[in-house]
Amino acid sequence: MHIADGILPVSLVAGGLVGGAAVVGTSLRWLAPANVPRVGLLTAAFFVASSIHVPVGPTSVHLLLHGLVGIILGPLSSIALLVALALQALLLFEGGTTVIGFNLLTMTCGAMLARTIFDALGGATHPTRAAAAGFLGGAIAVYGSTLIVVFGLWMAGEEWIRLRQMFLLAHLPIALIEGAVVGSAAAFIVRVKPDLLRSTWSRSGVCPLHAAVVYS
Amino acid sequence: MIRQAIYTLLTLSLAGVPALAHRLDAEYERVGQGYRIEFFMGDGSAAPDLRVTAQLADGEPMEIGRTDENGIIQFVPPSPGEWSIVGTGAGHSTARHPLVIRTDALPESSANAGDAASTEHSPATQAAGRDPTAQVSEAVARSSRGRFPALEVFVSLAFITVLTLITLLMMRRSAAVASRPADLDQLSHEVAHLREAVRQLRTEMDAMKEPREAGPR
Repeated sequence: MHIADGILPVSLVAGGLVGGAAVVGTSLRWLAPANVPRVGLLTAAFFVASSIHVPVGPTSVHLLLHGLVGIILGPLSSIALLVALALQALLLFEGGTTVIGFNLLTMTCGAMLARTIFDALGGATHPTRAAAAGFLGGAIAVYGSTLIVVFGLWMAGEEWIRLRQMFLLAHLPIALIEGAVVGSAAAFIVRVKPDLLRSTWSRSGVCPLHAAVVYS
Repeated sequence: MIRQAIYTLLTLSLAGVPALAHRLDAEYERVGQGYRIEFFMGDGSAAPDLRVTAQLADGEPMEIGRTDENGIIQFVPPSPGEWSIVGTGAGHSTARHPLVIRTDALPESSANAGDAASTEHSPATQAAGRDPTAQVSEAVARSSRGRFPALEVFVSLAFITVLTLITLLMMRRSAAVASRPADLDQLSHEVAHLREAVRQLRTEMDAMKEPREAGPR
């Protein structure tokens, strides 16, 4: 679920770059050395999941797993998503380089929606709760991001009306499938290693410049 | 360390194999008075509803329409030259590797349309031996947005600002929620560690006292 270069108006592209930089800068403040491997692992999961496409009607859709990224990484999600989106744009020509800020905001907002819902429903306390909260969080993350992309396409002009309708319809089944995947994964994590969901962030955060230099 | 690096590279390269199947690509063939351009994904499936533009090296991009359900569009160059054809849509674009069509003269007249002898294929099409007879979509005129740019800028920036603020708020909230149990866990771990240390010190002190008390007796 990315928008390619040359579709969005310049104002949305420029605003997206500034907003994306603000989100990543904030995430870097919370990045501690112990979390770097986890961020790398979730980056790979998001990258691979986004690359497996399932044909739906005239277009194709794919799993996103940004809800799972949000639930596990919390405020560090944007770092993993930025790396994965940049790799997709540079290696696979999916998405775009100028719109990477907008795409990053789209994904990070979805990821944080999933995490917020998961926390609000107490997903980390019991496997059954984790399954329910994960399902809801994963599904809402997909559809939340879809709505943001559809808004971007609405701003791009009336010529994208067919694509907007296709996006809204095609991501309904994806939201349900992704909810099931995220719910299962969250329940498994709570049963096997609950610390993975609780110790994401440490107060001993490092400054953004230090994190960018040392962990890039 | 080196082994870890090799494993990482291997894993990443394996991850890239299924991903490459979704790269957007294009081929062309000359049919009659124009060119039939076909856009397709890396796995061979059609790429419908792409916005297709053509551009000369020193010219402005010109929208020629949208691909049909088979990912096909017809292009009649208005002038000779080296035309770069770019398809964009649904998160994919060929902007980084555009299809290049070189025309030395204007296309043939409509009297020669459909002449098999005049059919020219792109190298990839010749290699694949694709069927040139396929449905061709009509070019769609570029639609004007017709909005006042200031309003568009205002709405865009307002939307991005709200989106960024909501995301940052959710990030702060999740960081606060995540930090509490982690800090409590760490604190309880440290208290347990200190208790253990105190217990060991007491044991050692008792052990030291015992010989002293036993000595004078």
